[in-house]
Amino acid sequence: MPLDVTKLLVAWNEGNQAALDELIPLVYQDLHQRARNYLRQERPDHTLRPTALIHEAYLRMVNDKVPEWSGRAHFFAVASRVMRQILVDHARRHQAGKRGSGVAKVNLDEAIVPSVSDNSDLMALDEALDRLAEFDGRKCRIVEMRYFGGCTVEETAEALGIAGITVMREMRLAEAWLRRAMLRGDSASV
Amino acid sequence: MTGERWHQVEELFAAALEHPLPERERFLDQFCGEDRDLKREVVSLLACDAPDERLLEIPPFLSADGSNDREAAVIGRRIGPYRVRSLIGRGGMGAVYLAVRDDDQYQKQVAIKLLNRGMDTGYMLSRFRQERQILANLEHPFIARLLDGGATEEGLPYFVMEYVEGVPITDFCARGGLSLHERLRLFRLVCEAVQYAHQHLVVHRDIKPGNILTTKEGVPKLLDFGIAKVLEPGASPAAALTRSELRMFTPDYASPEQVRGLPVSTATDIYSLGAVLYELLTGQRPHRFHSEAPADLDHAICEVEPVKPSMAGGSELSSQLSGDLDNIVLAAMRKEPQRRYASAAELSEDVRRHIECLPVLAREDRWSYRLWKFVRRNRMAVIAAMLISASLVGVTVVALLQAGRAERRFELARQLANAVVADIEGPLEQLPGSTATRAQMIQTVLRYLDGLAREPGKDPAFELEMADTYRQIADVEGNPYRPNLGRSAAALEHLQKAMAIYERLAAPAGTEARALAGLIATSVAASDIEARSGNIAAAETRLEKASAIAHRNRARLVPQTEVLLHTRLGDAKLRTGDVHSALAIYRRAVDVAVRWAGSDRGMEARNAPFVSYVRLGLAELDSGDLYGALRSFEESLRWAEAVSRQSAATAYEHATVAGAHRLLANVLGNPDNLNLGDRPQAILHARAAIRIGERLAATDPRDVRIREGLATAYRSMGVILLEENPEEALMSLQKAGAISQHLNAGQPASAKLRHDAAVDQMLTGECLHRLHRDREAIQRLEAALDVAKSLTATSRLDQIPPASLVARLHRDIGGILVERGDHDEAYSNYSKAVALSEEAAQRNPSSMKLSREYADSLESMGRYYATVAAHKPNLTQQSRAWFQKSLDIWRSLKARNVAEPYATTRQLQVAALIAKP
Repeated sequence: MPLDVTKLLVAWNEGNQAALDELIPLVYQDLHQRARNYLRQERPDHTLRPTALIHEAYLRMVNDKVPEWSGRAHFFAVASRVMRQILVDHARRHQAGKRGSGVAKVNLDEAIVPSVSDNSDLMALDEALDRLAEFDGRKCRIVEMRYFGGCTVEETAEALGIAGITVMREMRLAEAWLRRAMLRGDSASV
Repeated sequence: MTGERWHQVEELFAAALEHPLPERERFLDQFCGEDRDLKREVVSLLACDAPDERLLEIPPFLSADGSNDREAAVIGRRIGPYRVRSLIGRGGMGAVYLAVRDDDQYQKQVAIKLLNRGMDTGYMLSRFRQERQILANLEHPFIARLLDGGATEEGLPYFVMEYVEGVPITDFCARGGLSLHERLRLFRLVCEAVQYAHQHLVVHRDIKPGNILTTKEGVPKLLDFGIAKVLEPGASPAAALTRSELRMFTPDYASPEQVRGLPVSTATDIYSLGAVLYELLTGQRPHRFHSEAPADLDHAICEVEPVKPSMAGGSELSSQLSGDLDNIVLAAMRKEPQRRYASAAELSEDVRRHIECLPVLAREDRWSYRLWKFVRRNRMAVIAAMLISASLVGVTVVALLQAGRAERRFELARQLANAVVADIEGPLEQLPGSTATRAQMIQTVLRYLDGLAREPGKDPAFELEMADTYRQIADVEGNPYRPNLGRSAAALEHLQKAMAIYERLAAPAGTEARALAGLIATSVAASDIEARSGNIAAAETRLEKASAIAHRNRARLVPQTEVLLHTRLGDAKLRTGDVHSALAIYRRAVDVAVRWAGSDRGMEARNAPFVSYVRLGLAELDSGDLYGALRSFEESLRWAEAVSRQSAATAYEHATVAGAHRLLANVLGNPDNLNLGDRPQAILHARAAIRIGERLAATDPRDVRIREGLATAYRSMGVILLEENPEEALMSLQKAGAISQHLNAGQPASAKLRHDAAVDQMLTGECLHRLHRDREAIQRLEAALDVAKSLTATSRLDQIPPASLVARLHRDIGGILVERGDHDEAYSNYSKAVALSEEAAQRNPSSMKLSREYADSLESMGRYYATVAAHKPNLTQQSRAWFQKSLDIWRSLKARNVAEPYATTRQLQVAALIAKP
């Protein structure tokens, strides 16, 4: 596993987009599985921060052959995107479960749940991010890394190959745009 | 969106952020030119800019529910100073345990509520600390005291409460087989507790049978007061709009506003009380839910009318449930908060009336209500989308006019007009950007009103209502004392129509007191509009006319009219600089108001003394009678506090208390005013104003005027602290600035808002100068100067007129330039300050404020020469000459025995400057 992930990371870093497509499911599966196992073994009321999970996964999945300066940031970029997916999937399933039976029963596989009873915000952000990505993918990545990956400005800047000040500037506009989109709850734009 | 367009938006957004808020509008105008879409896009993005707020907190994962194990593990543990004994119960948020104080020899029992979910504990605890004092002060026999709160070692939040041995109120009633009247009497005790909490500005937000435990003696105890608020994230206005609220409520008793995430208020508790009463009477819950999905909850709670209690069946009491009880329960549970009982006391009173077989106030909802709802639904659509025009309302009216029988038509259209006008004036007024919609809706109402006016055969009562409606419309169009559409001409035209009707009704028999009051009020309203438009002569004429009518009919005047007339006559005198006449008239207003309040328990009457005393105090302040002003403001505080303790008190009444504190702070120690130099007292009052304002703002984050008041309080605090503690002053001013900025966002800046923004900039500049951050200071001051120069004079009493604002800014800028050694520029600034304040003082010689300003300008010129004289000794004489002029002003004030003791203090200070070698 470390080998695959490391290889793919290097390939992606060198400009191979197909590597990313292979990378994402690998990381998804790993993070998802880990979260579940981890929480199963823990005391019942244990909570686990998504960012902690990513940090731990990095140490485990990426071996030290990847140059620290780019590998780490790139891994976090992928993991952030994956984490967003995991959280939204869970939120959706949770919601569907509630709606379907009237009484919320969580099946065994659903050992983990995002701990907020109302996930509508998370899903609204997810939808808004999709729309933002339609015309400005970079801002979407920035928000993903900062929010879902818990990355610093520097890490984000490094992964995307831009200056820290640009990250901050773009983030501010992206947040305003997303906030507006979430408030409106529709897809209006210019 | 095209890439190029987005790029443009991006550039402009970043560039606009570089500009201070007041300049953004102009900057965008300049840049965008004809491209209105571009500007609109950037403005709407700027409105959503909140750099300190996250879009949402990413939720942590949580392991599967294992509450039984978890609860078992807690028993026997220590939480804070308490030892957990046993589990009492569990709910959605966590579990409640019985515990005793570990170090306490008396082994006092408490209940500990331990929350189990991972939420932002740090934030929540800081909120809890803010609330703790207020909650701890809730001392009422029917409220379980909150004793403590904190976080466990694992970081789980807990609350410690008085332990109540009891069962939910519904169980108590069912098990004890209580009779209908026994239940109603028990319910009234609950109302009493809720009323008490509301008077202390605490809203429960989660009233349900499980939170109303009843002891075996039959005493109800409300649990968890204020906890729901602490648990709710995000108090800032922007956060309140996002959907991030953790929905804490129990759906069976939750109000429509909670389901929809709208602001909660005391009316929310009234709703839940209604739902509890429903269950007490019927044994059933008011709603049936298909599932817990948000859409189903929304539908059941916000759309569906509950089945009348008397029809709900299932209870042996059913047969005794009369129409009255149906009406009471349903009136408490109305979908629209403003249509419920105004207070828990009112609800309780209606229950009492029912017990004693008196007629109740609650009325059955008839077709008029459903019509109203139809209008309202459409109105919400109008606001939400800004798409559907108010013509929908028109369509309804047409349909109803055609369908209804002839004698009903007037009634219908009139009610509709009133309902729409009430909406235009009420909730809509607060919505930024609703101006266009309001204007359209008025058009619609007017069309039908004018049509009705042409119909023959109306009775006087109906005509009177029509006149009232015209007057209300004119208010919305142009009443300068409230948010209005700025259409003075239209407003005057409709006032004229109202006046014609009132005159006809008031004249002949001379019996119609309401028409007379309406006539005078209409003339006064017309005068207000003329005055604000700068037509002072026309304003005076209108006022004289009103005054003459009042004089002719003085025997029939109601106190309300007298107070109104006197305050406006006083204002007019103040406008022309005749402070002494104004004082005499205001004193009469105070007399009438106090007498009125003594005889009439209505809110308007009870508020009148406050209003009159404030005006009197402001005039006294302006005339230099500082102790007089202090007394008047103290009186206004006394009245405001008394009224705010009334059961019917609303946010407005609490806001008056904050307002009185603010005025007291200013006269006691605000260096921008003539003041009594008692800074410590001033700080106490400013703090009180801020405390109340913050609470009110949290209760209803959308009330614009409350936030304006809060900004003013922070501003006062900043000014008072400016000299001694510029750091803290700066923080206070930044808070004021942030609030103003938020208020400004999304609406065209009114003169008042721009004025406030300029003052904020100026004060911040002064602070920065004291902190030796001169470069930033100059930037702020110059920005403020730009805005101040562009403002035209306004007639509000409590504002510094722009001329003195400009003069002061020149003095401030001059002061910094002198220190930098830029003597020529400094001189030019000082000269402008002197010229401006001289002119203002001469135009209005009886205004102490302006005299003081002039003396300040002269003194600053003296200081300028004193500084320059360090290099050129021959200028020392010049310096003394300017100080002398300033001294003369203080002397002459002292000779007239006004503005004491302030004038003496200042005189001594200037004399000391002259005496300096």
